[in-house]
Amino acid sequence: MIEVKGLVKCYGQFMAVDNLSFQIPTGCVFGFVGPNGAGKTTTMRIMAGLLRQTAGEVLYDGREMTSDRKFLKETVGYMPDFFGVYDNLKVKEYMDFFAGTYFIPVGERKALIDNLLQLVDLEEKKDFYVDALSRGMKQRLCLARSLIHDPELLILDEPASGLDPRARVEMKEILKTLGDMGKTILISSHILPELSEMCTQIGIIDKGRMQIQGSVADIMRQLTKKRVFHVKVLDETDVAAARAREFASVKHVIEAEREIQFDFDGTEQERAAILASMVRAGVPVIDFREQEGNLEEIFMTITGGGQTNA
Amino acid sequence: MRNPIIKREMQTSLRSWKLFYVVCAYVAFLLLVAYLFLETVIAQSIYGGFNPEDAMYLYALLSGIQLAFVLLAVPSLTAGSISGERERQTLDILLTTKMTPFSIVFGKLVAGIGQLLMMIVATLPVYALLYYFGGIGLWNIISITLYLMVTAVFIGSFSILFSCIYKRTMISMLVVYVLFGLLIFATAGGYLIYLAYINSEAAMQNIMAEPSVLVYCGCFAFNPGAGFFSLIGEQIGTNPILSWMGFSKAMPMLPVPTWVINVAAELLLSFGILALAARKINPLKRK
Ligand SMILES: Nc1ncnc2c1ncn2[C@@H]1O[C@H](COP(=O)(O)OP(=O)(O)OP(=O)(O)O)[C@@H](O)[C@H]1O
Ligand SMILES: [Mg+2]
Repeated sequence: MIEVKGLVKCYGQFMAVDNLSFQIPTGCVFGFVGPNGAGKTTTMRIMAGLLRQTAGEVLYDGREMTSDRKFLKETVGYMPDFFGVYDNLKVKEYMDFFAGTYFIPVGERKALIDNLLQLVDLEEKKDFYVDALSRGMKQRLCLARSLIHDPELLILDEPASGLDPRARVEMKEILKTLGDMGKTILISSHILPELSEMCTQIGIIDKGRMQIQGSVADIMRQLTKKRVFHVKVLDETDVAAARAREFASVKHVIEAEREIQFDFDGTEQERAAILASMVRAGVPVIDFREQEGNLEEIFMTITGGGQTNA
Repeated sequence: MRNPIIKREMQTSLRSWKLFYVVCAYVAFLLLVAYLFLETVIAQSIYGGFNPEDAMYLYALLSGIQLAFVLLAVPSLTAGSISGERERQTLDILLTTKMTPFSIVFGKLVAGIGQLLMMIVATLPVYALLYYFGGIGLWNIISITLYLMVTAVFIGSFSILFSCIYKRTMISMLVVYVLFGLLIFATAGGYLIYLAYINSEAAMQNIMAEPSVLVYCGCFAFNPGAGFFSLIGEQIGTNPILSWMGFSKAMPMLPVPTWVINVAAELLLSFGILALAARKINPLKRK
């Protein structure tokens, strides 16, 4: 469990991180979302030991991390938002170098490096020069590098930025695997739908403050006042609409061709009752489904229309 | 101590041809100087030959060129070591690893000195030429090479410090060159003025001028040139600079030769400078 408590970072008068507090349960993939300049990178750099906070603390399993350099370095694997690679160095040498910086015994390195390269799907690039890799490959290599000392906590600052859709999917797969391996992951992004797919929890940060935190579904529920339902039928659209209108929790029923749509603010039991009533009336229902909320919209609401920028 | 930076820097620098070209050009230059020297000496000599004393002077000349080479080459090998990592955006990653800031700057210094050592070793065959004429022992060559390495550590640690301070490598190099220009020539100039002053004072009182140990050490303890001439002077029997300056008593009585003072003072200061450099890149340093 990671607990960030009352974290503050000031640059002169400017408060980049303003009394930020949040928790990440062990094994959780935590998505850190916020507009540009929200303070994501600043928070992550503090957690990675690259920046000293003005106030506040970061606890890992109850132990203060930022003042205990050795502990922090053992625990955290960090991937910055922007990073470079060394030229004239091959992929396996690059990994070997970082194995050296963590004092991993020479004898253990080969197997470890092979494993990690396999994890990020770069094993056939082992003998390539690092600067000859594509952006997405470099990104994956950097991820493999951040895993070299088997850290329990991974801090990844926009690992998917600048990647094409295919590379994003690959990155997502890797992160899923890491999540399954039980690593606690803090990952930042601008792109909410992407995060919502792979994160178990999300925190939305703006102006250095945590605006809202919880599971994606929780956040949706808290924020969407109305829920919208779509019902697809094979026939008897009008009957379906009539049945729906009988419920007090249903409003604004709209009939379309073999489909109705309505707003709903009742309980899950009522929701089941609506479907049951339609089926009892003999309506051939083929789909009864809640419309997925638009996370982008929520994001904009919370951050007060702050611009997003992928 | 195993420092991964040293290994990596060696790997990458050996892969680029730059180092090789520089070594070739430099060795060729040394050979040319030796050839011109011999030619001149032989042309001037009465017997049309060459004597061991000339070999000594050639040795001093070549070693002087080596010193100049060290002073010029080390900044270019080390002044970009930290600013380069910063520019390439690899420094942050390095700082998150278990390497301490000191081991990072130390590794950079050793890697730079290592590359220099390779170049210097490549020039040793030129010395073999002198060996052939006699007069110069193997130990002389080893000790002068060691002295050059101390000088390299000294100027290298300053280069690395500036590399931590300035974002641009060119600025760091410029600052190191200016600093060492002052350290070598301004202190020597200052000491000469001091000597002239005490000698004129003494002449009025009709006594021998006695230079102060403090002033001498203040001027020369950190002057790589002073140590160099003192060591060379010991090796070839005359200090080329002191004998040329023509003062009756140019230096105070010292318990140890100047070069010993230099080696000790420079190594000590280098360590301090490296520690300061490490502090500069430590992200968690307290203001
Ligand atoms: N070294 C610095 N000096 C002064 N202000 C800074 C510094 N670094 C960051 N800031 C400010 O702190 C705020 C937070 O920056 P941060 O990089 O943490 O945002 P972010 O959430 O990562 O943004 P992005 O999505 O663009 O990466 C910004 O307003 C930025 O201008
Ligand atoms: Mg950022």
